[in-house]
Amino acid sequence: MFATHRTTGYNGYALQWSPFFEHKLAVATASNFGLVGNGRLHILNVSAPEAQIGVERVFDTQDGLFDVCWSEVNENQLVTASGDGSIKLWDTTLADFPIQNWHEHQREVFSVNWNLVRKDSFLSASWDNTIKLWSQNSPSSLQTFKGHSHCVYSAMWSPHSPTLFASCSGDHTVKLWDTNSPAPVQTILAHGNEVLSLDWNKYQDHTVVTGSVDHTIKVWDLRRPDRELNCLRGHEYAVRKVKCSPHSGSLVASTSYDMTMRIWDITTGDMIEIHDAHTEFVLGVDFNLYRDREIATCAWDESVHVFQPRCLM
Amino acid sequence: MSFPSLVTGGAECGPSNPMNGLVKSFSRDRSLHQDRIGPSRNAGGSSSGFRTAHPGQQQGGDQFSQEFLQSQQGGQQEFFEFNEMTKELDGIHQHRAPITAPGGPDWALDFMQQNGPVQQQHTFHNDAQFQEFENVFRSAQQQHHGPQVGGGWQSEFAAFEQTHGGLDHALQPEQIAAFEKAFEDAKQVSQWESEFQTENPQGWAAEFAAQEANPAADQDSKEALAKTAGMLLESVDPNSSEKFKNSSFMNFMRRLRDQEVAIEGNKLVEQTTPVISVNAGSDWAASFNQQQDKGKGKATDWSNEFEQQQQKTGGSTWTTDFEKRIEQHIQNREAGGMMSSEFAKQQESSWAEEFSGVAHMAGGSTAPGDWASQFNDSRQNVAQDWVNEFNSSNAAEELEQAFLQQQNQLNQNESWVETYRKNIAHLAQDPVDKEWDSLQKDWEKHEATGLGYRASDPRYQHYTFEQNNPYMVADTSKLMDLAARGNLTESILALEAAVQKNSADAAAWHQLGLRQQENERETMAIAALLKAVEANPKELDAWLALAVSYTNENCRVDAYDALQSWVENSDQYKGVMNSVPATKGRSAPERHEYVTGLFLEAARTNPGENLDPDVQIALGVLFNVSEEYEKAVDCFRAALNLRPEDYMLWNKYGATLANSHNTTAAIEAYFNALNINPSYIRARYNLAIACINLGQHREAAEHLLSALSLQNAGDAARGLMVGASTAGAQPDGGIGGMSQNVWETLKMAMYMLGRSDLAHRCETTRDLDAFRDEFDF
Repeated sequence: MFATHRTTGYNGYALQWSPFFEHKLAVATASNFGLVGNGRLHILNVSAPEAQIGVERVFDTQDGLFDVCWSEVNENQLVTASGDGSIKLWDTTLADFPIQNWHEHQREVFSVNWNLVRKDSFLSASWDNTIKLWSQNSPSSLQTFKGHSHCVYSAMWSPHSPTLFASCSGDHTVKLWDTNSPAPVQTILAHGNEVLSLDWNKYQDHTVVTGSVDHTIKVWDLRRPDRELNCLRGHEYAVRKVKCSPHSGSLVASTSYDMTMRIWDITTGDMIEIHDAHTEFVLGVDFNLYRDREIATCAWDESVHVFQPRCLM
Repeated sequence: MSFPSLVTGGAECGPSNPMNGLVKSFSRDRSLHQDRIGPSRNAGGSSSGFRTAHPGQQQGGDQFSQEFLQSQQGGQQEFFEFNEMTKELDGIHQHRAPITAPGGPDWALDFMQQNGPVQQQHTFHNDAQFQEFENVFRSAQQQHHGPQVGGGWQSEFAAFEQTHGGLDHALQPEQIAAFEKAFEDAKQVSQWESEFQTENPQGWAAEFAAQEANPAADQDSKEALAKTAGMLLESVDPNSSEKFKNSSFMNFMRRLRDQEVAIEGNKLVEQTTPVISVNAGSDWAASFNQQQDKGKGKATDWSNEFEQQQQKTGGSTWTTDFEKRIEQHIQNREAGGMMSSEFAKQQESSWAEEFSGVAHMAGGSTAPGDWASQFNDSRQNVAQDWVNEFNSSNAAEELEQAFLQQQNQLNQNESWVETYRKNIAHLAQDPVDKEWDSLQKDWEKHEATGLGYRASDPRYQHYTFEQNNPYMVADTSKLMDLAARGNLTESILALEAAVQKNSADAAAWHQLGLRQQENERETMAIAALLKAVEANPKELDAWLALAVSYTNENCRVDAYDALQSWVENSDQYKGVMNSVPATKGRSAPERHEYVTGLFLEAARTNPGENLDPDVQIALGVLFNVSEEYEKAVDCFRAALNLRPEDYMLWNKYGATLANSHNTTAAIEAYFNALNINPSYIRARYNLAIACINLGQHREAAEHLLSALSLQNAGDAARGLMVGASTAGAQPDGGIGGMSQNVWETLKMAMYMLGRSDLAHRCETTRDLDAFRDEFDF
């Protein structure tokens, strides 16, 4: 199966499958490649087995959307990260307007991530070098984490601990944080260049995967922060996003400015799949949590692809 | 537009600020670069430049302002400091200008300020005259006498003018020769270097910031964006793939570059009459600006951004890119009459080379040096005419000529530039760069097969002994006995003495390797174990221990090799080599399959009660490597039945259990290890980690503190025995390499316990006594 959906006029930045519905896919997009102009959040329905993609709803914003994540508590809600520094909470049952708008970050918000264990809060990472902790019930952020000396591109909760999260930054480092501590509990000099993306292995609580401008993906054992376990080479330009499979401890998907999405076996270091169908930079990728062979990607070619990679068949 | 608001960073870049759109065009744009497809960070160069230059906002803030103030106050003085060097050049001085204070950054700034005039006119004379360069320079100087950049260097120039003004010299071949000679002399003057050393990159940043702080036209931001787009485009080889060739994003960048579209406010606007304003000067200055930005203590140099694949050869790669960029620049700009191709061609070689020099230096405090020298270089050869044409109306033209002229000069003096660069190369790196360099080297030591690392570290090949070992005078026959009775430190010293007396003592090497494993010094353990198997390949346990160390070092293929050697050298098991079909594959999975096959076959030959614990341990190690922890647990448990007193085996068993998420059982295993050997630091550390995983932070802290106090005791013992000289021998402190990890973990535990005060101490004083009142250890 292979399905395409056009997000005409909008370039894809990020997407996420719903943690509640196997067919719901949220896609964050921005016009003019996010350089300037509006954003649009797409809520798509992907039917199985013959993937047909329908639009459930779109939400328009004044500024480009760079990331999206579903609420882990309310199946209809999700938050988006905006270029104007705002974070918006949406309800798919309500048209047009966000139900909450937080504006604290001074610059672009580049990632949002919902707490997977306690499910009562989420994180945002911004180009203002900070990470903020939010609760959907609180009108302002609960906490601000400072420590990076450059844009923070991503902050991701550990899937195993309610208070532990990791962040990656243009300062080349990965930092580990505990919400009980205002300062990072650990810093890893992760790459020789900016680190754009990071994800936790869902099966090994000490394993983190990073993607960098240096074209590589690195696998880290947080117990041995002095050196990566493995370095995956193959992308020809910066790696924009890494995503660990929820179905296998060894599979990682990555997107890159080389216009491909690739899937890797991190235990062997082998690249086991290249998805080369996008015609612009590929930014977003996510594994469907329910259909274990289904993967979605979005790219600056204004299209969303949903398909089953050969390596998963 | 309010540039000061940019200078103060993000605080005012919110949506209410009308600057928002512009700021975003900068920063977004920058993100494209950073996220990177490519290298450049033009717009980012300016915004980051602000940010870093803003006092207090980043690390260099205060320093920079101080230094900037100093240079303002001390300008005159600096000039006189140069006197000494000036003397060296006396021969030249009779004919031409002396070397003045480092002029590079100022010049760069001037160059930027030329943007305006340059835009107006672009006639190009190939027969440029040095004189005109001076004119340009003078007019630039003039601009600088404005209040905003009141700088010391103006007074330098004033002084210079008094001394040397009005000289008018044409450049003669013999003068060039003399000039070169003078520089040969000059470069030996140490002061030369120190002068450049004192010149600080932050100073530049300040000047650039000041420059940017000038009320610039909106046009500038468009240009910046256009340039960024241009650089981004040029960082990508459009012919590299059909996709890039047909990319609408690339096309969009092209239109931005050519200013067919521009960003106004929050919109993308078609430009009916493309504004042609990009020019050599501003482009160059922008590059310079970026490069400056990167130089400010950031770990990468610009080259990294341009070509991430080759971080090692950053400078030269960058140069290549720059050349490409210039070439393209010619093609792109020629139609617009922006820049004469001749001009650009001349730039290609030497300008790029010059830049590469700067790129190298950008990381260090001497960044301006090269520029300064080259600038001075030009000045040396430039005929002085300080009186005439103060405010030239043909600034642009002259600027280009001046540039060209400088290029000519550089070509002629290339050898000098080379020499000079060599001489200052050691100043070029700052500590951060070095840090990254060493990381890079670490990386290279482990040749990536994509399947783990190979043990190519030279330290594995050479065992470094502790110096001033008191056991060296002990009776050889007693050493092994001492090694068996002493604590870890004593034992290691005794064994080192033993192998130094008899380097063919495989058993002693083997023991030494095991003790170093216990000591958390995997590298030394490998070195010792390699010696053991070299002295006696039949020292089977050494092969096994070697495999464990290689696994810990993540050198999987080497671990497989060591395990295979174990089989090959085993009289009992070498037969299985014939019964397991050999594979040619050298990849980790293939090796894993083959070696595991060997040991499974070996295990089959001794089933049931005759189970060989070594075979089980080897299998346990293999299954750990392949992350089949359940199987590994079974193997280690089987081995422990036969070797219940092996505390290192208990630790392996515990770690494997922890990896398979059986924390409770892991804790039990660690306790068994510690019952047998209470000073086994690794087991105690692992125990602490397991406690943390169970949320028992207080217990974890106590185990960590015990480990640290054990380490301290070990250090004290060694200090008493070996004397002060050892302090430097093991720079990572503590016995073994654990100390840092333990403190880090303790810090985390303190945070978990809500004791940020004590967590802070884990970074600063590291005084165990501070914890004694509250923790039991």
